[in-house]
Amino acid sequence: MNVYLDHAATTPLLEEVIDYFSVVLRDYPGNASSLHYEGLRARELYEESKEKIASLIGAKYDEIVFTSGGTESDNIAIFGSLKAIEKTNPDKRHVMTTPIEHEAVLESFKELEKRGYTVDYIPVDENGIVDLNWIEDHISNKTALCSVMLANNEVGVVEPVEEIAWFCRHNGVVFHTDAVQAMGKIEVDVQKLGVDLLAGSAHKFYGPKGVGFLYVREGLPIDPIVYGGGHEGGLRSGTENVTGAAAMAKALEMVVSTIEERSAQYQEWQKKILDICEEIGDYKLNGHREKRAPGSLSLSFKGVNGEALMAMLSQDGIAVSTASACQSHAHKKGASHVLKAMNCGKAYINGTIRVVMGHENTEEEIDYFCSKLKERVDFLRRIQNG
Amino acid sequence: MAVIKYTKAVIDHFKNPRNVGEIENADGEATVGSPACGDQVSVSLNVKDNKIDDIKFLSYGCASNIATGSIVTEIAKGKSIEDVKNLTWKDAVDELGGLPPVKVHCSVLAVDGLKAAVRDYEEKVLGIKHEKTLDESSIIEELKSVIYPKTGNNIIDEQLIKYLKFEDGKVEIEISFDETDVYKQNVLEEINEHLEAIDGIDDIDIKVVEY
Repeated sequence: MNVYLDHAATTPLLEEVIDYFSVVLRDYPGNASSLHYEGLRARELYEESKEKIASLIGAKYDEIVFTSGGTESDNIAIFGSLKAIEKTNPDKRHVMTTPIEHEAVLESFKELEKRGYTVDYIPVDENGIVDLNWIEDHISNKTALCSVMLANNEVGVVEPVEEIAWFCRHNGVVFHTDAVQAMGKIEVDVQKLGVDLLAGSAHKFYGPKGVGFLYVREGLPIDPIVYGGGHEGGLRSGTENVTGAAAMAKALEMVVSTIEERSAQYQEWQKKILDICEEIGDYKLNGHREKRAPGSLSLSFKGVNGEALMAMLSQDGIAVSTASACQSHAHKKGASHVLKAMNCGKAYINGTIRVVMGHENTEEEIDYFCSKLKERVDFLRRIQNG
Repeated sequence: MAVIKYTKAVIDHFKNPRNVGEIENADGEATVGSPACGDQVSVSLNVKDNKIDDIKFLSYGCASNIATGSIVTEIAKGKSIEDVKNLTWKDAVDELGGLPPVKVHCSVLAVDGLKAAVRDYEEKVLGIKHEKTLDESSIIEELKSVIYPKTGNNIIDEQLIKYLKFEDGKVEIEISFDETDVYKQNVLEEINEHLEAIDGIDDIDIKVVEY
């Protein structure tokens, strides 16, 4: 039996999305910027897709920019908005983010440091939730931008983005959220959240890889970081990815329509997995128990090496990961920056696996995972302790 | 970054590790590595007629750590003390049909554990004192246990160390890395770990020369 439980790394395309993707790939060969009939057909579908994504997240058509994925969206949001701020407010050289962001944001902020920005990292508590008071204490009239992710990719906690966005808005600070892991798992509405910028990526919600979007609030000053033919209102030049955009819209539409029923299902399965963990003993569920994206678990087993556990489960046909996929190939000492920031104890931090459920999982698969998890943790503890 | 792909032998040994456990009142025993950095191996052994009669290991580490612990005990069992002393981590890697470069350090640790257990036996049972000389060449020898994960060679053969001086308990090292080298931090931590464990070294000064 093969059980894929790594839906935070990527998700398999939904059957309907694959079918739709193939149809568009074949039937819409035109360049959406061409003015002849082929171009106009492609343009129409592209605009429909954008309209659909916009309506699914409570945005307007003009507020959506299609990109190549989450990383590019984060980069445009951060560097593009700062570039615009630099022109009008050159004194605003202070930026904030959290230590638990995805590399797309963290590495961008490291680059900002090199460019002379003052960067502050908002501390998180041991549940992985950012400290709102800290933001209040450190925000000033020099603060240009704040970026806090909506749902964390390693532990699945959901951050109080609505509160932070409100606070930033009232202090004249641009607020960006990386919502890549949240899309399709929890409700995402830019109006409710009150964010200026929001990044999403299709392959995390059962769409194709290589396509994503950025929400840019109407009127927000932002400059391009890529130049060319002036596509996407000049913010992101490059021939429109019609197929990708259409498939992404289709995927999001399907996924959003089933969020509630899936959440309920995932809660049940989560309970099953946590029950078996109780039986196994000496474990920790990382991140806040309630404030988390349904179906995402980060589990640490004391005295167990997470990499060995992952490799063993893989031999059993079960795909989980140790941390994020971006770190899985790193050297042994690449202990998770997220768990470190959360003060996860040394005895636990190396014994962590990430389990993220998805659409195609079944009850039978979860039961199989539970039985193998217990077997393998027990086995590894025997090898360690004799 | 390197993709970790294991051979059949590695998978077999980590799924069904041989000689797991701990010998009570063993003739020789040793623990190397530390769980804090993610890898630790303990080896205990009994010797009869100058041959390894029984050997067991415990591992707190990744899949390759378990596999190398298993293969090393299997290789050592029945061998003479002399033969065991001549074993290298390359022998363990060969026996496993190869290891990904980022995992070679596991076989170094397993073989180090085995040799340390043999030394313990020689000291405890045979009363042989191991004279420890501490000089630049013995430090270089020690640093051969630090593997550069990108290539799977040790950092000495890899010629990463550009300068090494040992005087009055202080080690000065100059090491070169490419500016974007993702393994830089890991290698530096590992050098520190190895040097800190040596009696007689009180001060470590590592300069990174980037190019």
